[in-house]
Amino acid sequence: MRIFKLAGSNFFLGWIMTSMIYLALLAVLFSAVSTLSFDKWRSATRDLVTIHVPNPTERIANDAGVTRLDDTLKILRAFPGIESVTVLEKNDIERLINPLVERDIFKNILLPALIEIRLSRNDILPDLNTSLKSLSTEIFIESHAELFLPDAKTFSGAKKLFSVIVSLTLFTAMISVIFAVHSGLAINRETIQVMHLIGAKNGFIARTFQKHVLAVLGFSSACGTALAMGTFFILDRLLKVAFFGDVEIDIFKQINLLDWIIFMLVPVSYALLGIIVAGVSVLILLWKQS
Amino acid sequence: MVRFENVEIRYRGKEAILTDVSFDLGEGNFHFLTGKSGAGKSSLLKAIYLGIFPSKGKINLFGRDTSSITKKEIPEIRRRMGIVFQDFRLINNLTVRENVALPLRIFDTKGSIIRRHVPELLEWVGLGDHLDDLPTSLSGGQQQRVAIARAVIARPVLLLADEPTGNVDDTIADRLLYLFKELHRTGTNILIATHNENLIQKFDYPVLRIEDRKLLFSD
Repeated sequence: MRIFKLAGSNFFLGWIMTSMIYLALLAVLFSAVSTLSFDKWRSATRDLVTIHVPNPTERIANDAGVTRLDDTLKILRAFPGIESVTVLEKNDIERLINPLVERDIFKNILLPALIEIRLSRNDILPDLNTSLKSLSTEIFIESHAELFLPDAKTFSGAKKLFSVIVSLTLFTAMISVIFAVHSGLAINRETIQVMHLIGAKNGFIARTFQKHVLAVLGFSSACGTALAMGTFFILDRLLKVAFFGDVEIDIFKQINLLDWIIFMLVPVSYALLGIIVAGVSVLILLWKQS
Repeated sequence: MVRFENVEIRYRGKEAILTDVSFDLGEGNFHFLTGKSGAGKSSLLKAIYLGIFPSKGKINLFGRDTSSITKKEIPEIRRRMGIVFQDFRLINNLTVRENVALPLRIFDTKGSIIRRHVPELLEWVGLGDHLDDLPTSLSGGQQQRVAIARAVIARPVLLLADEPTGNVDDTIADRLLYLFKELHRTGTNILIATHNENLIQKFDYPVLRIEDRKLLFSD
C-alpha cells in the first residue's frame, strides 16, 4: 500500500531529478573522457622527440660509404636513455607535409630525414643535442612536449574548467535532491501528521517516507542513467561515423573501470542522499510537532 | 482512565482557553463534551490525545502522568485511543479500504487479518460498496463514517470524537450516534465533543459542559 502521494507535483519532482541526474552523469562522463584523452595524449607526446636530419644522404668526408643519416642513427642507438629509434619512411614524411604543400613539390626538394625517438629519461636531451650538433649543426631536435606546450596549457585549463563545471553540476543536483525531498515532505505533511496522531512511531513514519523517496529517486535515477547512456551511445556513433570517417574513435573504450564505478556511484549516492535527507527531515518535523 | 486535575490550557502567548479543569473518566464511560463554538472542546480533546500539554495542572492517562511521558512514549499512549477529527483528516490519495486499514498497518497487524476485518467494519458502517473509492468521491456523511471506522478498527480503549455529527443531517447524526452506542456496548469508552444540543438530549449520557473556560458537569 502506497501511503504517500506519488501523483501531481511528485511526478514533476521526479522529472527534475531525472534531468539533474542525467546532467550530472553526462558531466561526469564527459569529464572522464576528456581527462583520459588528455592524459593519453600527454603521455604519448611527453617522451617523444623528432630529430630532423637535413641532407640525410650526404656522405661523411672521411668515410665514403657512410651517410649523415647512418652516422646520426649510430649515435642515437648508442646513446644511453633512448628507448626506441624509428626512422620515418619517405611516404610518412610526405603525408605529414602533404596538407601544407602541393604534391609536385616533393619531386624538386630533398626532404630531411625524420627520426622519431622515445626517451626513457628526459634529462639526456642537452647532451644528445651536443652530440648531434658535433656531427652537423643543421641537425636539430624537436621535443613534442615543448612543441605542444601551448596546446597542453590550453587543454589543462579546459580540464580545470571542466572539473569546475562537473562540481557545480553535481552540487546543483545535490541541492535539487534536498529540495525535492523537502517538497515531497511538504506535499505529504498532512499524511505524516495523521500517521503520528494515529500512533505511528517516528521511526516507522521516517522509514515509510524513506521508502517513498527511494521509489521516486530510484525511478528518476534509473531514467537519468538510461538517458545519459543513450546520449553517450549516440555521441559515440556520431563521432565514429560523421566526424572521423575511417578513424576509430570509441569513447566507451576510453573510460576505465574506475570511471564506470564513479559513473554508477552518482545515481546511487543521490538516492542515498535522498534517503538520509528524508529520514532526518521527517524526524525533525515530528520532533517539532511533539 | 482519563483524569484532569486543575488543568489550564493556553496556546503560546495567548490567553488561557481552559482554566482549572478537573474531571475523572473511569472505565465503561460514554460522555458528551459540549460548549459553544470556540469554547475549548477541541483543545480539551487535543490535550487528551497529547496534541498539546497543559500549562498548569496534571493530566493522567491510563495511569500515567502526562508530564512524565517522553516523546518516544506518545505513540504507545495514542495507540490506545481512536480519534475522529472534526475535519476527518482522511488521506485523500488512499482508498476507503486503505484509510481504514492504516492504523492496523501502523500497528504491524497481519495482512490476512487486515483483509478480513476492514471490509467487515466498512460493511457495518454502511460503506461496503465503497471499499475502493477515494474519500474525495464520498459525501460528508460517508467520509465521517470512514473516519469513525478508521478510529475504531484497532479496537481502542478510548474513542475521542470531535464534532462527529457536525457535517451531517439529523438522520445521519442519529445513525452515527447509534454506531457509537454500539461501540460503547462492545467495551469502548467514548467522549464525544459536540455543540448539537438536540443530540445530547436525545441520548441520555453524562455531559461535560464548558462555560467561561471552566468545565461543568451535568448528568
